[in-house]
Amino acid sequence: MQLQLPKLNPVTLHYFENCVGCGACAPSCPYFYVDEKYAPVEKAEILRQMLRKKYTLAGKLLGPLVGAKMPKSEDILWEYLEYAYRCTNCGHCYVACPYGIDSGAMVRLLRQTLYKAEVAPTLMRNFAQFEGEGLYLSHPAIKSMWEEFLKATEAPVGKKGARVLFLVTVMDLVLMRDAVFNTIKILKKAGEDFTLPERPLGVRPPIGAVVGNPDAVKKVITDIVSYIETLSPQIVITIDGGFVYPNLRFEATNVLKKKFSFKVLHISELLAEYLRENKLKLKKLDIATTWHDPCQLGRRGGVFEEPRIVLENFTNFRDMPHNRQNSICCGGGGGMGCLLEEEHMAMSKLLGVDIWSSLSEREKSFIKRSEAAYYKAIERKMEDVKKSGAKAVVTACPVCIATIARGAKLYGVNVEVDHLVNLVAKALE
Amino acid sequence: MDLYQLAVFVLFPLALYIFAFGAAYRIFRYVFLYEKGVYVPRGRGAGHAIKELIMTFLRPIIFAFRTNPVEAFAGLVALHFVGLILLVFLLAQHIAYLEYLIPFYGVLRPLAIPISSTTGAIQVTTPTGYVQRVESIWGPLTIILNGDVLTVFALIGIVYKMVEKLVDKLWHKSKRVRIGDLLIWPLLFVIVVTGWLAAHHYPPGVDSYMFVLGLHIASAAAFVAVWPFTKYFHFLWGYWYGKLHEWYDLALKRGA
Repeated sequence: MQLQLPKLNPVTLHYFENCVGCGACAPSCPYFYVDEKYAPVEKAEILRQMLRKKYTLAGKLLGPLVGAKMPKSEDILWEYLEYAYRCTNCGHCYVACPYGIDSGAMVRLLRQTLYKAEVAPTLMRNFAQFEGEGLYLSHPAIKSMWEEFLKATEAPVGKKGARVLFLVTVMDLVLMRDAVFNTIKILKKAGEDFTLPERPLGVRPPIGAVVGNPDAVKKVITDIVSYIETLSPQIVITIDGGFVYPNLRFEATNVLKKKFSFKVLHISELLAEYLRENKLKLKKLDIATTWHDPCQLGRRGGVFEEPRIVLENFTNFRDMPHNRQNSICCGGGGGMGCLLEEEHMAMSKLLGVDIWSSLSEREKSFIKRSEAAYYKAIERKMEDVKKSGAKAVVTACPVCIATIARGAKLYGVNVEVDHLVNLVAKALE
Repeated sequence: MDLYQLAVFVLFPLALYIFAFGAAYRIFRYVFLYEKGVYVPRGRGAGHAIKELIMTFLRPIIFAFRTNPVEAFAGLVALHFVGLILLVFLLAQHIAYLEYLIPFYGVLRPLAIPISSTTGAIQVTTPTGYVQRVESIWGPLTIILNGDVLTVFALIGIVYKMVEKLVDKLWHKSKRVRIGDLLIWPLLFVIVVTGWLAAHHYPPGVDSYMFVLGLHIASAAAFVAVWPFTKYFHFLWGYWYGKLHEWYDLALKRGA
């Protein structure tokens, strides 16, 4: 079977060939604790076997003897899919690796290869196309939800030249509706010159980056940036501390091969700026909080201190034992939080289509196993939460919020889990 | 021509030429494949950059000691730091040979590590009536910093790795253990053991010495020749490129 393998650049060449197989990455991965076969080095090895066959002389001549082989059937691709979807792209393996190998990047390339062979979770594949083709803009349920949101908000919409554009996506409204409204409340309280967009800017852009569809990534980024440029804000903020942030803040300029006229900030960065400049006053809340570093905002986004500055201002804040670059991933990222039957049901309800019934029995089994792995992977994070002694876990990624909340319920940890802006909104004077 | 002469005058120089070709090929691909990206770095300042440069290298070592102390001791400390790096680059006999190849290498002579902390087994053939402690810049550290002790550490590391790779392959069915792993560790083992035997003139006799030393240099030549074509090239390239790239990507670009 012909597979389209990724082209290599110096960075991916390094990831491909410089792994010595020491396994130092293994203890950093949430899914290693589900099954040792999901260690980052073992997941990346699947792609390495294919790359050796394509790119190395020894691989072409000696094949399996030197660990070079191509999958020969769709069944094997589905086996590989299971490895590819035991990775959250948290980046912990990257910083734990003595050689600086980002195994998450290798898994992303594996997903791309599988996607091109039409092996990908249906829900995520469909959403990536739905977003990339802009179909979400004309979907009746989404249009109606958006119009209802704009009516309820009493905020400027589509204002050109505002200092701040609040980038709101479909999933912001579906998963973090309170946080969206509280952000608007905070922006007004701070006297900010801001605007909302006239339309949602993506479903959760770019979903293509998670499922391995770079074409969909480019399309949605092109669309969003063109729209933003028509409004020409100085700053674009997002409340989503998941993959949306590093993709918009760092990868988007490389996707479009141009720098933008606007800065991209996470809401926590703007809140820290407001506190520094005394634009916000917060009353003390008597609550023991801890900050869960979303992997995409923290390790992959560089935002560690700003949320802590905010929380230290008005709560009884303490860190978890593993924090910042050493933060333990909740296990929900990289699409893992979508591979649940309940998520399929929720998305079916949103879009008015029965997604779950349309899945093959093979895919349903894959989802069930992924779900079991997801619930096991959360456990390690919950141990860290317990050790902090916090009563509230504060974070900024919708999947982290949902995952840690599920983990708290499953593992009997008595904590509230909430988005940073919701807590800030409670403390506004 | 005996094995010693073959190894020193033919095999090792040939290995160096193969090494040079392989190393150039490996590194040239990084230059050839380079494409400039368009990024807006966060820019957290020089203090952050310097602190993160150190932490980028230190973090995995700290993590390894916390999460897998056996591997950290055997694989990192015993095998790398104490065993191979000190043994290969600072053992007196190696400094002598490397200085012959690269005269500038002689600057490391004052740091030379003796094969033994005392005059050792040579006493058997040239008895002086007393045991003299070796004079070295390392002073009392010579009790550890000598070829005999470093060899023990290196062998602990190599045997650990040999067993680990076999167990991973046969019991854990690990994908990442390939035939190269099963060949290169025994080669390293042969190099270290023959080196130790040669340094101690064992088996006794000049012909045996020449043979064992020849075997040591020939096996080292085999290693040098395959070096750029194996994962051991990490020592010259992969480790440094990888960590510096990570520093650039996470600390400088993203401010993490």
